[in-house]
Amino acid sequence: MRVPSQKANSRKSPFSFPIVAIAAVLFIFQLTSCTSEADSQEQQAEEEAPKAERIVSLSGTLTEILYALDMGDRIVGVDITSVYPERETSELPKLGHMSQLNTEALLALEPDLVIYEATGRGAPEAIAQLEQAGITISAIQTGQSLDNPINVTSQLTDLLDIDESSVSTLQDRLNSERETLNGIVENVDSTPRVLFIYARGMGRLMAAGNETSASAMIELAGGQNAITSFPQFEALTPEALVEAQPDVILMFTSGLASLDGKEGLQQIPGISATPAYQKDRILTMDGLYLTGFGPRSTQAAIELAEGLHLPIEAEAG
Amino acid sequence: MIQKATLLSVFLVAAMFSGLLVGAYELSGAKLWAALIGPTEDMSHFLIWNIRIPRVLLAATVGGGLAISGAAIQGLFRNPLADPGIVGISSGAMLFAVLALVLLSTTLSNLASVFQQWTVSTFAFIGALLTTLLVYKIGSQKGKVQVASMLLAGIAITAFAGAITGYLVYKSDESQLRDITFWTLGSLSGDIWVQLSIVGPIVVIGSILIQRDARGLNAILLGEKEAAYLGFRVEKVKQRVVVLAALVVGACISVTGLIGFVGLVIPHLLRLLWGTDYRGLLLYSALLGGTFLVLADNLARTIVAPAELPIGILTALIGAPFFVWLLLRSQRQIPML
Repeated sequence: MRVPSQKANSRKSPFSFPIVAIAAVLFIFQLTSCTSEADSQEQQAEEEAPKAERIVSLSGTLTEILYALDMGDRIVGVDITSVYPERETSELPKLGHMSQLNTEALLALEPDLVIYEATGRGAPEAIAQLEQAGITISAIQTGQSLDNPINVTSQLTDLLDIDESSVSTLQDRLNSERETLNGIVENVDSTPRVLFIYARGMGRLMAAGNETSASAMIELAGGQNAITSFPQFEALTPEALVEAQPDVILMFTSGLASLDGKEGLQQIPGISATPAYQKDRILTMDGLYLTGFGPRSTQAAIELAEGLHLPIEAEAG
Repeated sequence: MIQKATLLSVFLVAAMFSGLLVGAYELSGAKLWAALIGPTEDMSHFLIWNIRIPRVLLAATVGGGLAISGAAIQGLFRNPLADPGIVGISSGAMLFAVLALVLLSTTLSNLASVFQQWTVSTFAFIGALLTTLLVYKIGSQKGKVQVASMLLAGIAITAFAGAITGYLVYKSDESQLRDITFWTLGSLSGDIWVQLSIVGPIVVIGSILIQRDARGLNAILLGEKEAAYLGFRVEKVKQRVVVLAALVVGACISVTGLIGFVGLVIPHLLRLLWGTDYRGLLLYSALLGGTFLVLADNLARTIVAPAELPIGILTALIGAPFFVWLLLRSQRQIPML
């Protein structure tokens, strides 16, 4: 152990100068920044925002809707959840997750419109920063319904000069798909109990409650959510699994893959006691497709309804 | 000592200038200068004044605050493994931040987004102070702080807070879990001028006050009795260091989330180089800690652009190998404290 000498007792603390200097610089910067913020806000208020040409979309669903409306070529950057259409989105700059935005990189894309979903844990501070920078930022209201793409579209038409024919094409497609879906759901007399399991490896298994988007899709497809006792996601316990008595187990494709497929599924305690496992009724669908409530949501509901009902009818027949 | 401090100050200033130069938005030197002195047609003026400058200052402040507190806590406990986490600061901040993140997405979800971030920060700060206070109370008997029992109390409280945090993590859904994970990895982004105006003064004033106890920490190296014989009011020194470290570290991690490594290893690095004399060591730690975090943040902002890497990943990723290299190279006996 080194013992310091005491001879320098009277020396002044060496700390004062650099720290005071930094503090002073910090204070001056503070003052100047306040004035510049005020300026940019005034500039922003003066002129009406023109129709956007360079869009950053921070939601997989919104990105998908923009592509469905032939607005895809105006997108200059997307968040990490924007994975469809696969080829187009893979070529765009990925800005990471919404809650970890790199503000500077986003500004470097020079967007004139940034859109994100209003649901969830509010906007991160990065959004406030972008507003200060004078960029038009719009929180789009979304919901767990098959009308979601149309509701989003009507909000987007205030921000973008979307071609009316693109809107009506989308509307027509959704209408005809809705008829197909109704045709399936109306002609079945059973409502199978469906358990949605969210999996990220064996260590993280969760069951979807009755207010989740997975539950909404199950009901749209003519099933019933096997869980009624909690609204959101809860950890999956063997007893809850047995109590739920699901006829069908529904998972994301990536979720089942994280358990090494159906082989791994049997390691979940209690799963072998469920009718779904015994009859091998395990359905998987892509995450954004199944629960995104984007332009493909009605197709997803049809696919889910067919998966839920047709084999039963075939068995009965 | 003045020379070493000057050298480290030069490093810090150089690192801060490099922080102004790099980023996802390309700015040449000339454009940078134009943006610094006046408004420009493009984004660069906004970018420099509202993103790069405050961010570099925040990185320097937080890095400095974490490192100087780490050095002081190691001295106080005479324990090379001590860092501010050992008196419960980090675990308390973590528990309360996680609590805030869970509450925000349930009962408080209607709160305006500006207040949401502040809720997390305020909760984390309160949590840091509360747990430290608790550990301090448990560790002090008849007005005297028993360093050993405080250390053990810190371990116990950390475990207890960890258990409750674990329960909240277990109950949380995917988006809450993601928020929690990102918080534990640290980030220097956000509405930085506001953060800086609160954290800056706490860290700067706290660091100056910690520095004033440097001679007391030197004396405590000999042992508490010996320090008392030398004329130091040991109890007062211990009280001040714990409270100041909790304030400084609590303020830092409340805005950035957990940033590991800086508080633990920067002081050791300096001990290896220049020995243990707290009059210099505390100051050097503040300067080098600031430099280190500015450089790490430069990488965090650019390495995966246009996305951003959590800074806590980088501090350990760069720092640990460098430290091991220094350990292997070091010829003299390693001064533990």
